[in-house]
Amino acid sequence: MRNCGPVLRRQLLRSLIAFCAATTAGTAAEPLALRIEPSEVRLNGSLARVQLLVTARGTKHLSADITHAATYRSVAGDVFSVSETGLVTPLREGTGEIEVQHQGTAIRVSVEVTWKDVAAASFRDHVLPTLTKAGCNQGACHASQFGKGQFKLSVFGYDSDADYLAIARQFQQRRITPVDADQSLLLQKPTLQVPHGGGRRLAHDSYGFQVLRTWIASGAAPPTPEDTASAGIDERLQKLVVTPGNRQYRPGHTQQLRVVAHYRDQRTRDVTLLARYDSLDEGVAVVTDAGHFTIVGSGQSGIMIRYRGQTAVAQIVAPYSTTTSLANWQPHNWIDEKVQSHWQRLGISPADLCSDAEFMRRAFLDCLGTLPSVEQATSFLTSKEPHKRARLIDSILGLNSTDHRNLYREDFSSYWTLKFGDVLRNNRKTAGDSGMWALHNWLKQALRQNKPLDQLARELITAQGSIFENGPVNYIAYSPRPTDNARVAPATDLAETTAQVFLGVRLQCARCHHHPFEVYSQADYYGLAAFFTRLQSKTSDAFGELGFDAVVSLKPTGEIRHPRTGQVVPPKPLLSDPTDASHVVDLREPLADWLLDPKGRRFARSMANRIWGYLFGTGVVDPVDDMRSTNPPSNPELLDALAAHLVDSGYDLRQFLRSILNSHVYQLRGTPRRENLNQTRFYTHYNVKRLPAEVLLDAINFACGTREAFPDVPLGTRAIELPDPNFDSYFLDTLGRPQRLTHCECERTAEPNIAQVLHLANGGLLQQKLADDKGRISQLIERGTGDDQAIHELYLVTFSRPPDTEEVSNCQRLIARSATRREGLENILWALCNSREFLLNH
Amino acid sequence: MFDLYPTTSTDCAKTNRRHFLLRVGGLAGIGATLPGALLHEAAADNASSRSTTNCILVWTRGGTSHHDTLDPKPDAKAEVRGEFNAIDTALPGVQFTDLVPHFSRHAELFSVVRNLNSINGAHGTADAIMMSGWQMNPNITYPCYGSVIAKERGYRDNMPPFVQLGNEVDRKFFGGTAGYLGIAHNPFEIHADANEPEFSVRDLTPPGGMSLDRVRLRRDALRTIDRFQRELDRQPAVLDALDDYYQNAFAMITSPATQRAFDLDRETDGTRDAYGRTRFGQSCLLARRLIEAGSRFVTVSDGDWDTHRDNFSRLRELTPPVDQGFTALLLDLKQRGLLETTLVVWLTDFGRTPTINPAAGRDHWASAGIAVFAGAGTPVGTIVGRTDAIGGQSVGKEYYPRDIAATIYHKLGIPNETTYQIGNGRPMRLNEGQPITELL
Repeated sequence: MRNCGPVLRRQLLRSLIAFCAATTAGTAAEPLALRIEPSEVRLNGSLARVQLLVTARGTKHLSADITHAATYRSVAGDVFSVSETGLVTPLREGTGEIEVQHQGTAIRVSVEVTWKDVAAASFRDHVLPTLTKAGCNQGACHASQFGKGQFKLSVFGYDSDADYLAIARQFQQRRITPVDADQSLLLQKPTLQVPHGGGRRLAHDSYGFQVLRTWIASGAAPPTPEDTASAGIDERLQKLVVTPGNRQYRPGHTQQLRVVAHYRDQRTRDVTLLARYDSLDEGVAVVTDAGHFTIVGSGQSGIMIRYRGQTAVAQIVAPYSTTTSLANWQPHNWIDEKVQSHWQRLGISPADLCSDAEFMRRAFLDCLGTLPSVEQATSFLTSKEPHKRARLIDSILGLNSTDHRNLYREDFSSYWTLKFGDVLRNNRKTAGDSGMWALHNWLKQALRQNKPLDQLARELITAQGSIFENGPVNYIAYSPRPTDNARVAPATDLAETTAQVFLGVRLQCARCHHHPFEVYSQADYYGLAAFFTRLQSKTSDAFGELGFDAVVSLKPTGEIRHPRTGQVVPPKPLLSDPTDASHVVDLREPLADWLLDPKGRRFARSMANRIWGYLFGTGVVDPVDDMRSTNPPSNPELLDALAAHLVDSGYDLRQFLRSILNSHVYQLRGTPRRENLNQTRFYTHYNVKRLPAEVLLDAINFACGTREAFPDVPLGTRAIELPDPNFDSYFLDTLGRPQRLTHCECERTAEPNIAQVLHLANGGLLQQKLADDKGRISQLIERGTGDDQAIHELYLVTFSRPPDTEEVSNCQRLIARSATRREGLENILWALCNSREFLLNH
Repeated sequence: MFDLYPTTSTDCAKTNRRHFLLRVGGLAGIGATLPGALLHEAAADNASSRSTTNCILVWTRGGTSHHDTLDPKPDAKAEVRGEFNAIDTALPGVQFTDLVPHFSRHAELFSVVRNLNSINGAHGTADAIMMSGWQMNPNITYPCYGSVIAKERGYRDNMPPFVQLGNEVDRKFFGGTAGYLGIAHNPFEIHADANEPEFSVRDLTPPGGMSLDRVRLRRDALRTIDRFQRELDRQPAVLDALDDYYQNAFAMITSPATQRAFDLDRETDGTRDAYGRTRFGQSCLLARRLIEAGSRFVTVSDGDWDTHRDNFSRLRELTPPVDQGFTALLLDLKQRGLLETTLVVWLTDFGRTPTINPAAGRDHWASAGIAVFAGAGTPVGTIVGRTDAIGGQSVGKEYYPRDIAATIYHKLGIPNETTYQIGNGRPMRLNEGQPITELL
């Protein structure tokens, strides 16, 4: 079956296309409602273009794009031409009309062509987008570190002044030849009239070629002063609007997009032909340079559109089927409702609910990083209580019916300290021993007390004082080298960190150039950095004996300058108005206010998504710390509801987890329905994930009844309790423990490799634990436990479930085949520890 | 999975290559799902064994003095010249020091780059720079050559594609690792001393002298016990990848061929003696065996070359094993007909100061240093570039670590334009250097 896949898919696609054609023909009998955008066409100058969009709305069918199927006729005047694909090109000044016809229905659109500022081929509006679209200024080509062929451009044209110099002035001005435009290298290279290492980038008769030629021939005007506003992005350009922004399709359907740039002065301009298009998933849709896409598979995806530092996404839903089977499904809470309606939109069906044992193991691992003890497991599995899952959740989270009697669970605090310690990059290499412990202890205490997450965030962002006494100060200060005293981190680092940790936004790109997939410019970057410019540090004598203490405090002045313009950048939160800093003592306070604003829910969205991602393996926005408009949430309603819930619960981590764990979505089986096998974003099943390195090592020790000896901490300290990565362990490093060098969640990896598997399967570590004379197998033998009982216990401490009768007899045979009974039990526990059911959280 | 660079995969070259191989779209936080792309990694795409050229990289950690080995300055004053004499080599008009008689005698086997500017004078960063061809970037760890080869070529005959012998690669800045390519492509490290009689490889031989019969019994036990999701006729990619590695691991543990590859006792005493009965010499021999058995890239690491004090007496101890082992490796490869398909490279942190310091040592020197290339079509007996009278600066053209990288990738058949996508969606060029034309 496997090898037939591509063939089948092609056939399916063909028949679908045929089917769609037939349906369209079939609707001819019905009156067709044609909708045309724009309702009137205005063009100015030879480079102006307008893309028409023609949509047919049948009574029983989805809206269908017929832009390329309709016929176009100029009915009055010859001031323009219109292509078969609905693209209108001006010819001369005047007015006219287009008749659009489709299957007997006709509709007219008026056209007005003006010719003001005809020479205005703008460097930034036309030339740079053309170079971007042709791929000239991508990182791999002329925007690489040294350019290519001594011709260097800025990444995606963020630095128009430098690009203008490179094009129009450098290389003895041979790149452009205004007196004889066609002799310009800028035209000859990309069209391969002269050899070009980058190959053919432009066709001779293309619009892009015409743009470059027009610009050169009209004198190659430099970017105008207002173009090069300090922002590094054209401030006049406000947003891109793409039509249609969100539509449902079936495989075989096609769609022409229309992209309009909106300016602050209310002007709009059709940039369909200048924008750059990228499909976010080529398995769902493929798109042409002209913004015309074809649905090639089912799923949810989008087309990313970029023009001049602005971005937009046309969202696509192509349902997998027309039905959703909810036979064994019963929504339990609001989470279930949000997810269920998403399944219904996509035509996908959930797996069955998981067993009690699966649920128990999963909940323990996800919340505590710990396997249930034999007693806990037995008591839960044998309980006949109707609401025992809900009760187990409360017991895991240390919740009780009354708040003041909340239980205290050290493994909960330890595990979440580990997670947050990763994200905050707590590491003695940068914080020093005492600083690292201070931050670790503060985090752990906060989790023990269930400190609201917004408060946690505020204390970190606004921390001041001693790095030894006040843990969160280590978020602000660090030592560049172990031998140096700690000092306030550069404002730029703090801006990046704050954006990534608390907003889930990766701002790093914008340090040096405009973010390639976001609206963030260098001005936004340095605007955020400005909040951290009034901090100072000095070494402290308070811990003179130990040395290396430092105290962070406020200073009255401080500012940051834009690296290209040299102008001071005022403090300004992302995509918001500048902050009035005139009466503010600590600039970080208004930043925290903005971040934690319950209405804006910026932090809440990021945090809710992150926690959801921890539990489900993929975030609603995924990766969880890459939130941006061009990486949309798979289910926006769900993310909104989660964020609202986090705010409403008072940023209570345990209550938030409680709601998720009680949902039936969380309690679905880890075995997907066959048709959902490679689906990870729609939560039709629980996504299995490998145990993190520390959890796995703890689980092995638990299963083998042994303890780990890490240096400098008490014997038996668990791996999830380690405060930072600087405890030598070949096991942990090989299994993917993060070194805490970056704030990126991607540093922790569950990728398998051969060294891991060899170490697990053939390493001395596991064998020593199996053979330990105080370990579980020794104890089983000493207690005189019979085979059946021993096998039962070994299953409980690894798979968190009792074996079935077949498994018991299999294991009995394995014991019989082994040289000794002890070897037999060791072999069984070895096999359990190397099984997927053990290595994975499922 | 939303993938950021789906249609930008045409690069500056004319052909459409399959780029952005690394689609690390999945969440890799705690409780990550294994990226589906790993399915392909683990499958070890045998079809990709296009190029048969493999590589052995010798790394002398600490910075080997160029003056005292392959770039002597006999006419310089004593405090530059040092204690070693320049001697004639097999190449007319070319001199090395008398510390490296084997190199001198076999100078027609390899080529030496004398105009290498390492642009860096610090340890740790050196390992990262010289083994990746990139300047340091604290936010990104660039993959080393071996990891790129491991990713591009995958497994052959159950041998790990990238092996590092010895522990002498400074990992402070993640030199010699896979960096953004992910830990699946890190080297398989063998820290044990290949010259020890009881030499064995971690996790490769069964622990505690366990019999292979018991290993096989365990493999059967695992098959019996591990029933999770076996009922599906296809598995999610996560599980496939893990399965593949387990099969691989068992094949390595139980395959006589793999075990043989690591067994130096199968060499004659004559061969072992020829490489020198030193850790370095036997590591070179092991490297050859691993390449023969199916590995693609082997790093032989050697340490203690940071001769700030007693440069000359220490070099008298450090250099002879390399002098003997490196040349023996070339002779052996040549005799076996493997030199045409095996690139052998010697790199070190940087050069050392022309002027001898009061402690009879030489300190770090970034602007001149040596590299040695042999095999895989490298011209023999070429001396690339030259340094000034005191070995302080290159005269005329000079080369940089990125050009070393470009040369290695060129010889191993990895296109310079290869681009990977890293976790945050940014496309990363493999390399931005130019191959050293004299070595092509």
